[in-house]
Amino acid sequence: MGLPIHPRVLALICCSIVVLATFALYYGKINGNNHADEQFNNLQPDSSRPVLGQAVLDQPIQPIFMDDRLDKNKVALGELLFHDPILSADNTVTCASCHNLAAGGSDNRVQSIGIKNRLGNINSPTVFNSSLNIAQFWDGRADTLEEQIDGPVHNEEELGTNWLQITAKLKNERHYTKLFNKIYSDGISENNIKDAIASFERSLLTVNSPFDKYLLGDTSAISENAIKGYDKFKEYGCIACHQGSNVGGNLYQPMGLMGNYFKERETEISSADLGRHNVTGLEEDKFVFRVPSLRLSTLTAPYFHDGSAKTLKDAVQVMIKYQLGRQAPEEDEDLIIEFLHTLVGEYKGRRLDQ
Amino acid sequence: MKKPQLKTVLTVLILTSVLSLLFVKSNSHDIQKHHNVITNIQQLSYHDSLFNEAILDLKANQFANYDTLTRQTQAIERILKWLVSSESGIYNTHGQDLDQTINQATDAFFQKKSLMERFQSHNGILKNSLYYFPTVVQNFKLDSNNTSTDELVDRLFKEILLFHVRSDEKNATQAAATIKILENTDKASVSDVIKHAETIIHRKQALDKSAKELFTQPTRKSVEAIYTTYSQYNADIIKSTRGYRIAMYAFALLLLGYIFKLFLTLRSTMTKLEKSLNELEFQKHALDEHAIVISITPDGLIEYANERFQKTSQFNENELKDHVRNLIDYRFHPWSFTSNIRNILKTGKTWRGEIRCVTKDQNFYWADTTIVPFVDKAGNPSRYVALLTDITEKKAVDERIFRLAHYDALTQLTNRPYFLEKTENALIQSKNNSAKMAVVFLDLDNFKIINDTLGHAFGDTLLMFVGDHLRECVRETDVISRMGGDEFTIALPSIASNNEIEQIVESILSITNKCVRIENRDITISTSIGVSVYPEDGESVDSLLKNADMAMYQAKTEGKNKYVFYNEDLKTENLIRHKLDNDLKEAVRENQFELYYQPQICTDSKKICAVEALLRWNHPERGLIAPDAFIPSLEENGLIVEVGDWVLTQACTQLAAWKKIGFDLKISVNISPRQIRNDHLLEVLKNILNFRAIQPADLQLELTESGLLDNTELTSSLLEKVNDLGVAIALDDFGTGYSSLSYLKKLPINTLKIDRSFVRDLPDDQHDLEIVATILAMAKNLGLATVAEGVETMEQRDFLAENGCDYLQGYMFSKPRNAEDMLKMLHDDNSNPDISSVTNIAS
Repeated sequence: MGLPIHPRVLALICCSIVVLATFALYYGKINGNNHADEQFNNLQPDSSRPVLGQAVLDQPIQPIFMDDRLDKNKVALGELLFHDPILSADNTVTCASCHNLAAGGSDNRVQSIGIKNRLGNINSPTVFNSSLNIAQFWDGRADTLEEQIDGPVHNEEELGTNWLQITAKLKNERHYTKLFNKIYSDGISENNIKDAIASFERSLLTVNSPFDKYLLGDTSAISENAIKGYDKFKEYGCIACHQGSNVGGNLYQPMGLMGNYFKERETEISSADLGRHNVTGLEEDKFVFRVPSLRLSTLTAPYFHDGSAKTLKDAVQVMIKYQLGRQAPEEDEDLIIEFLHTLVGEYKGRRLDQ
Repeated sequence: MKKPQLKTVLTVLILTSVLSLLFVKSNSHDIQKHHNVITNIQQLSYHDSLFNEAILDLKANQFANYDTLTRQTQAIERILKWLVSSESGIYNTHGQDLDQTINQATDAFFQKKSLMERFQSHNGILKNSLYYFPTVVQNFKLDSNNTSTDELVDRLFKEILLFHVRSDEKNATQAAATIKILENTDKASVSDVIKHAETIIHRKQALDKSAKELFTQPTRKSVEAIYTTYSQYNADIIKSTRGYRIAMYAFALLLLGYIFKLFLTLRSTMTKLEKSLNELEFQKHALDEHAIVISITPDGLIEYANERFQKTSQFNENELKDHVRNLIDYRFHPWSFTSNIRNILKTGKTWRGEIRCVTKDQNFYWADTTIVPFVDKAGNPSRYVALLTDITEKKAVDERIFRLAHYDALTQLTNRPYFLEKTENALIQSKNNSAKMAVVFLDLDNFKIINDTLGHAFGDTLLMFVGDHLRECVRETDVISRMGGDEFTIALPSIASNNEIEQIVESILSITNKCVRIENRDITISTSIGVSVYPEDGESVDSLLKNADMAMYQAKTEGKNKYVFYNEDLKTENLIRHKLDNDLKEAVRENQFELYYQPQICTDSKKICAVEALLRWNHPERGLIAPDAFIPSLEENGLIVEVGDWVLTQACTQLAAWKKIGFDLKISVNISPRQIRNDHLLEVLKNILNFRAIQPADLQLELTESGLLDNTELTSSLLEKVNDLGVAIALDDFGTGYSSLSYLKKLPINTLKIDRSFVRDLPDDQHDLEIVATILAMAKNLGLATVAEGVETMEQRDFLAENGCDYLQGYMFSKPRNAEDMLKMLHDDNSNPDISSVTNIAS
């Protein structure tokens, strides 16, 4: 073989392409590991979390702290998407429509309103502190926040769209393409949209509540009555389920333990009333629901999966009756409610009930 | 060419692909990824332990909330999800064994989580009832007044407490029995106690059961299985990557070897190339030195020109990037020249030829040019390369050679052979076109005399002058030639009429009006012209030339300075002339000449004191012939010198004879102009004077005025030398020629001979009378002797004697007579005292 010039040049180009392609693939694989790194990071303890004394750790209720391990860019992108009607079929509804951050992270309606003003079949829960829950929805059908997003996106009464549509719409928006490309190597995709929104949702934590301050040693942070209310809360046994940093949200219980709630409710039983059974299909999971968080209970009326309790007091009474199998004097109920008020924390430096 | 290229490309592509494949394969064991997988598996195990720990804590009432469980569950689910995701890269890629272990672990954890939900639920309810149970019991007791029931409740309380602490089914059974008893008491307030007691029993049992099931879930085992399977698999990968790495190393060594081989080839090729380049450079240098090289586009634009071209053409590089046609000298070449060349080149043929090119300063140079067209695949010329060699000098030499061979060096007119060639061609053309054609033959009048007397240089200048004049007279197509000497010929092709010829010929004759100044001397010249016309006067160049020559001769004969057209009569005259020429030659050979003598009478003594020797020709057929009939012919053919010598010698011999007898005489001999052109005459004279018994003073040479023509230095010095010998010189026919008095001053003349034309009408013609009287007076004053010719009457004799003429000659005294008669006359004269009284003895 001689040394003809043209073939050499051509071959050089081909070689370059092959080598570059190899490296591109290789680099892509390495890049793909970033998620693994993040995954790995999540296993590390949160450095921002202060070391708590045993007295605090022994408490059934734990204070909430911001999670500093979150990627700020993802949070910002998620926040943008959360408030963008582009995620709905007719560009009218946003995530924030039902999960109003200014109104406690939900919409204070019995049933939420979706696209075309359609009425949803469920009471929307608050989005705040949702990351602290064991699973999402009343029946826990979504293990993660990412999975949860699938629900409202596809629900005809909520956003009423699909991922194909959403990604296509987002790809038309220059600034989204730019933002996604900056954060994700593969740009706009279903997973990345979910990841961004979930990241944002993980940042939706209500910190510095008066009760948290009290827990951490500030005895003047809450009133005497509230302290009494906390004692009543424990004494009545509410604490058995409403515990942890989210004051609930981390376990399932049947509705109507000590009384037949559905029978006495006097409305027909719907499929939603079957609760956890809809997910597991187990007989014993019928009428079982995820215990809701009480962190923002003062802001998220109406209450229960069917929104049947219009006021907090109603809810407290129902709970004491059907779940604890007791009666309580109104005085105790008020104290408990007073205590519940102290659970409301701040988001972006602002207390949510103010 | 195409196939090897493709082959090379494919080879290189395959080699690169193999190398890349080896690289990818050898990197398939990604340490970072491996680390992530191992860490996650370990974390899974770790979270499982924490999960178990939390359950135990909760069961032991150590823990008041489920946040830990939530966190561990979430962490476990995240890791499980990660394991089956593409990010980990171990699911669906590492074979069924690993997938199966992961699936098993997922199932186990799912079961465990489900049990955990139940555990939490039971635990919550259990705790709630446990919290409340003492209160409920106390409330019942406060209301109750029945001690037996109280006891039962107490027993139940105790049994529940024991059951809760011990988890012993026996206590549960006992408690259940107690509840049964209590149920029978219809106390309403006891139902609350029973409800919570039952809740505690059932939930405690359910809690223990779910905890037990929970711990029996094979989560730890399945995680260990994942770890083992993955490790096995990883070991295999590490093993295979090691193999690929070795292969890659070997491959790299191979490539290195190949590259080294290429390097060697490249180096040798480069050396060769360098050598070739040097050679090329050298050749280019040589070529540049020798030739102009131009590369021309199909549109005719110059795209490359070497330095040589810039040097030769004086255009700089940018100016040369022009259309090639701007280089051709159209002052010489026709406009169609370039298109003709292009037409040849278009056929793909090489063009060769000579081009006259222009330089920047509008000079020209000749280039021997070769233009080679380079043809592309379609057959169209893609470019032309022209090689030009400057042949200007060669061209000039060629031209000089041509001129030397074909032209007369002096006049730059065509020479004889070239004229014949050209005329031959013209004649053929005329024949083809049925056209008329004329040949003009001309000869300068008296040129031989001028050449002999004034010198060759003078003659040459005159010939050049004539040449220039002829060029002015003829048309461009006509051919002028100098045939030799003072003969010129002109071919006039395509003649319409004789009128046209006459016009040309007359303009040639007008040369007499011109005056050429040579060496401070103004000279005029005349010419005699003969003309022959094709087809009337001849069909060949030869005959035309001959006939024109004949006509010219006729013109000469008819008195020169005129032209004559050839006609048939000339042929006869020519024959006569030829015969005369031949006869004369024979006459010289056969000595047919004879001298006659005419006496000259001395005016004072009235006796014969001198004789004039006169030449006569005794023609064997025609008899005695007078000199006028043959002297011009003798002069023409040059015999005059030989005859002249003979005349001089014969005359002197005769005189010596007469002197011997006792007659004291002088003798006059006529001398031809041709005899005084060189020193030959002097030699002859000296010879005669040495060997003949005569004195120099006895001899007198007679020269005509016209014979002297121009008083050149040569003539003057010769006559001077003759005079020095003591020989007298007489000017014959005085008054008829140019009669320049300057002759008398410059030349050593002793005697004037008054022409008979002046004497003839004396003394009646007053005009002649005055002239003769003046001449005689002038001669006396100048100290010259005088001789009157043609004296025929007494009156003439008397007038001349009265006016002081020294000698008289004429028929009155005697006609010319031969030596014998002359001797008789001399005898008579001696006896007769007064000859002048004798009237015409001869008659």
